[in-house]
Amino acid sequence: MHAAIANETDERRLKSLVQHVGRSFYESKYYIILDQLIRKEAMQDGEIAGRIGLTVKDSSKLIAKLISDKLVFHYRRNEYQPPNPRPLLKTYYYIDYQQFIDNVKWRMWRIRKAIDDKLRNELDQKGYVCPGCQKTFTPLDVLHLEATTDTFICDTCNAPLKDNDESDGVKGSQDMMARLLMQCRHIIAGLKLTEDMTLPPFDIADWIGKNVKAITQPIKELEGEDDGLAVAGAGSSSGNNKSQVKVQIVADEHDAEQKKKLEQEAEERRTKNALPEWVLRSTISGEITAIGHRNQAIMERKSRDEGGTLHSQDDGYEAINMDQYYNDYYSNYNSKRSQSPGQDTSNKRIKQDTETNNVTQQQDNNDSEEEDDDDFEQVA
Amino acid sequence: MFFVKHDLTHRLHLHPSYFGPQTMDFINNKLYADVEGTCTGRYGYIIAVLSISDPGSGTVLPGVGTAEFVVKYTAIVYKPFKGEVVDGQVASVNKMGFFADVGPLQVFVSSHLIPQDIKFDPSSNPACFSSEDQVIEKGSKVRLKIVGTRVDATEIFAIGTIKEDYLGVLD
Repeated sequence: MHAAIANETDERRLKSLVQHVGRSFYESKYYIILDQLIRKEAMQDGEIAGRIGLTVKDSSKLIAKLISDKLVFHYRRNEYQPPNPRPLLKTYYYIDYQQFIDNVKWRMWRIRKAIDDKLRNELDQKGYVCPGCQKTFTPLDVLHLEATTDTFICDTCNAPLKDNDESDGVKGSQDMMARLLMQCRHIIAGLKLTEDMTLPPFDIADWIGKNVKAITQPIKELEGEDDGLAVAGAGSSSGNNKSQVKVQIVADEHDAEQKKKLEQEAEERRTKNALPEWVLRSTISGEITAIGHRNQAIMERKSRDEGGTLHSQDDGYEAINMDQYYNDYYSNYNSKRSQSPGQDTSNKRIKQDTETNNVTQQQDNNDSEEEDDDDFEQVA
Repeated sequence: MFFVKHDLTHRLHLHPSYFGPQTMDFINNKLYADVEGTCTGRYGYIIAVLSISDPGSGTVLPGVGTAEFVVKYTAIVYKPFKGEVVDGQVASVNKMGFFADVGPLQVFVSSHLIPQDIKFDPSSNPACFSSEDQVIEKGSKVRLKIVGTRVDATEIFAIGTIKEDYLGVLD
């Protein structure tokens, strides 16, 4: 299961070591957490809280103790949850077995050293005993005593003294050491078994990148559709960047399809946003208004664009539009003037004028009025 | 550990025969003779008197005729502490361990507090503790750590160890 530990027996040994350490030195609530953590390489805070049936807050408090003891490590990164656009700080807990072993080894050494030191200090108090009168002497007492090359002489009965091995303190310390070795024999044996194991370092960021992707997949899709505004801390982990790149690749593959879709959406929007009939046409005469003309032109241009000849027709199209506008205008104008005399000639002239596109409408009007006057004069 | 101790006091009784122009010299000399090299449980060994304040005029004790002077002085004192590392010279060796002199202080190093590889060699003369690379015999200079002291009113006893890193015979 653990990617770094190839051998299954090694893995089992490490896990049993973790369990032994937990049960030897921690309360039940702590070793239950450790028991859960050895089931997977790493666990999210929510997952472990669910497994032990506590809230995330309560379980984090317990794990904090294990973290401060350097038995468990944690890794934090920002993650997104679909309805929430803000990143949430997610914590992953894991056991780094190499660090765990080093840590336990060091602690065992410290305990042994503490008892060893105590034992040695109590050896100072071990002292001597007279085999004759059973009088005991502490090492500090012997300074007064007469000494031979072999030993000290009892000041009461002149018998040579012997080491006092029955001192209570010495026995207590030796007993304590024996009990420590007895009670920690599983841990010591477990540590010895780890000696010849090679444990590559465990890269938590790498592991999460590989294994947690499935869980964060919908979240990453959301990121792809975001509004383009930067979110603080969003790019902090490498995992997010990778996902963004991937989204772009997918978009490239379906480029044409997506474009079509976009256009379809735009078309729908256009029909919804189309100008109402009473704006496009006069409600009195039913004629097409100036806005109506513009709108018509846009619609026509669009239909030509769909035909595929977009750029080449742009200029000509503009000219046609103008011609049509003037034609319509003057046809209306003429129809109004149809009752007046000299209509035919003026109409012809006007048409000739309008065929030259450089003149403005206003000028045309003036011209036509002048011509009308002329007509009247002529007629008169 | 050595300290400079101020405001130590000593009561001197001076015989009337010393009364005269040299009285102050007598007082000073008697103070040196009385206190230097002595040991008090409270301050440890008084190694040397540094300065003596003016004792003023003494009081003649009624019925005796001697004058009492209360002298205040400053002295260097030495008091050993548990855990202190000191250098000393081996004074005697026996099977149970060896005695070392650390200035005025006698320290006993028990054979339990000597590293396992340094063993008592009964055949050698003088008796010694020896290992492959070091020999502890009378006159050897050793560095040891005081692991216990017993301070009496006029005496200080100490036991030491050389069973730690950087302790043992000084080359």
